[in-house]
Amino acid sequence: MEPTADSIPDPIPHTELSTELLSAEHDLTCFYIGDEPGDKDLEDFIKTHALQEQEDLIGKTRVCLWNGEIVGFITLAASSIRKDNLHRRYQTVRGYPVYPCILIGRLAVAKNKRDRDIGSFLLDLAIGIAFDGPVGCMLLRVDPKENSVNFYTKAGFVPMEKEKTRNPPGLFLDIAKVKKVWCDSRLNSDHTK
Amino acid sequence: MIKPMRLHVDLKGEDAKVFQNNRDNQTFTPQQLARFERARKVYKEHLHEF
Repeated sequence: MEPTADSIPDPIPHTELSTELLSAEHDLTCFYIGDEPGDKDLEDFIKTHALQEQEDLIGKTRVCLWNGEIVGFITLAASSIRKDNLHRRYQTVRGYPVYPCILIGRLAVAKNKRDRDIGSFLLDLAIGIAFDGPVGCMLLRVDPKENSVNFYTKAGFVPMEKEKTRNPPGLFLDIAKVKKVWCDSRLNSDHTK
Repeated sequence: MIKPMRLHVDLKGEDAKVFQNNRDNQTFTPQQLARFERARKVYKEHLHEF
């Protein structure tokens, strides 16, 4: 049966969401992601491994809060992509063997808060960090679960060159390209005013 | 020659050609550009949390 308009939950306004760096003070006992493939791994990660990995500086996890409740989380890490894993234009325009990126290590939303725009908020935050953060970051990278590939490609992510045959492939968003296109479009927009 | 590639679906022929051309000359839709603008705004609004 098709869901009716009444059954679709309202998105939570991004202004009502906040994030905090994961700490031992956060109570994750009620945080439940779901039963789909990969959900258990994500839940195991946030409840068992995320804090230790953060202490080891492997990745930093931010929990997303709404009305005091943990409704999602995102783990980010510094990373790089070899130039031969990128489109050929990267192999000629720059001499570097690798390019700096931010890796979206994990991103998950509580099952009872799905379809409420929380995942988009967390991805927006990662894009914003890559774009305007304090370190150079040309690319945003993710190794998505099969059921979340569309979530990322819809945002402009494309497969890495050497992973096109992997299913699902590793994806990246070219932040430098975004910046250029975005700035160009703003310039064009200003010129037409 | 344009090769088929896998992204949840197998793209062949004209579909693969269009997809590869889009990737090689990647542009972003107006919706994606609006989203990037929103993303920058979200980050700036939440910067104090970091």
